[in-house]
Amino acid sequence: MDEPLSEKPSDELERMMAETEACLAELRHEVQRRRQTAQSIEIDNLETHLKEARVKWGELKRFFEIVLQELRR
Amino acid sequence: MVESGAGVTIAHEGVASQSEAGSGHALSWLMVSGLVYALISAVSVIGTGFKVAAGDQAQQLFQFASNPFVGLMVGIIATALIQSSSTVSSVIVGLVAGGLAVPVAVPMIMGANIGTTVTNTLVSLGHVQHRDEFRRAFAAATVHDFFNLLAVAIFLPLEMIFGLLERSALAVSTLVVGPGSYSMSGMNVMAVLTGPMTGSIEWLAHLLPGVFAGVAMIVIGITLIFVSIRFIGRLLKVLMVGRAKRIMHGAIGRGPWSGILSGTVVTVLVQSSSTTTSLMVPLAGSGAFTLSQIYPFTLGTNVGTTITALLAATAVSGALAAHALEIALVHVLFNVFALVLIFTLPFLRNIPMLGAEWLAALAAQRKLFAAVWVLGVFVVMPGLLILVTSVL
Repeated sequence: MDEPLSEKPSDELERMMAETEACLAELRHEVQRRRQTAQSIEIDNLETHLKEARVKWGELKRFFEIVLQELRR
Repeated sequence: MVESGAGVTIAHEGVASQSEAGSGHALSWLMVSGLVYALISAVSVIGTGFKVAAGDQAQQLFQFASNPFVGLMVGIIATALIQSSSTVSSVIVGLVAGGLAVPVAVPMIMGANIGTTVTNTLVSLGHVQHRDEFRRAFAAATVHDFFNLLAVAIFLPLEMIFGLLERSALAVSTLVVGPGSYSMSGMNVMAVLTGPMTGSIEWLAHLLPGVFAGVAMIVIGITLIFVSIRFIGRLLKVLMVGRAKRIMHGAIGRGPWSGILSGTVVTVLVQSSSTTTSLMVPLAGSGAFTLSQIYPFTLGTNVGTTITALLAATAVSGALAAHALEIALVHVLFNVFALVLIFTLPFLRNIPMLGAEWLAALAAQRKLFAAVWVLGVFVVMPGLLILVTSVL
């Protein structure tokens, strides 16, 4: 059973805080690293994204069909 | 022996394919150069055609657009239909070179900025099948709409009251061309270079009688601009993809100003803000990039797209050449001023993002809101305003 926080000495609490902050910083760094890796992968596919960067009239037609379905409901 | 022979063959094939790729690239660059030449020449042709067709009536011909709101709406509709602000701004430069007054053209240039945002908004509608993906994609697209609408809401009244952009552009063009000079004699190298093409088109058009020659020149000029910008974009997408990748990789994790710079440079490289802003839609839709990362990149594209008309304006010669440069500079300054003002003031900076997030959340719940936005901003509002103004 864990000792309640109110009974822990102050230096122990400060040590726990420092550990938590270090852990949090490590987690933030890891999340950031993963996010940047995902962005790098997307940029590596730039050729595909450039080819897709245009209006597709079929998709637009589908969008307006969905809007009409919403209106009929 | 056999293995060595095969190795030699593979090596030869490698060298051959490299050489083919090299000559393919050289050919593509040659085509880009030819198309840029055609684009620059076309702007001068429109100018001459407009002078021939309208004569001294140029101002009266565009009387309907002397109301700045109508000019703005003309810019929005024309750009939304053509889906290229570079094309519309280059045509406007040509018309100014032919006698269209700069104050009438300024709202049209602002309208072109709004109209160009329709492309990435339409691209984002393709993500409609998945709610969260659609919300992110639609927000990434409409942040551009909101920014450009806010920019016009700030700068159009300032232009109407003080002529802020026109005066600033005149000051810059005077600085470039020379004080008190409207001859642009120092920059006429471009006009001399484009002379053979513009001369040939004008000679051909003059086979038609009077006004028809001018109209033919305008039609040929607009067609040339449209076709050359379209093909330049296609070729540059292939030629510049490697460099664009390096720039975008370099901007990751470096903050908003780096995003703005990369948006500007990538747009200059592919010569199309519609392409670069549409490119960001799937990147936002997948969740790889957040709205706050897409936003600065989008603002950079606004600045990058102004280079085409600026380049085209340098080839215009004659008495109205300085005005052509002036309107091209209005486009540059409008986007630079809007970027600096809105992005550096915290209370203004967040408005486009908040607007885009709010609208995208609504549209993700009911797609009707997205449809109303697209049709309202790009079709109904401009159409109604033009109709009401022409009736009254």
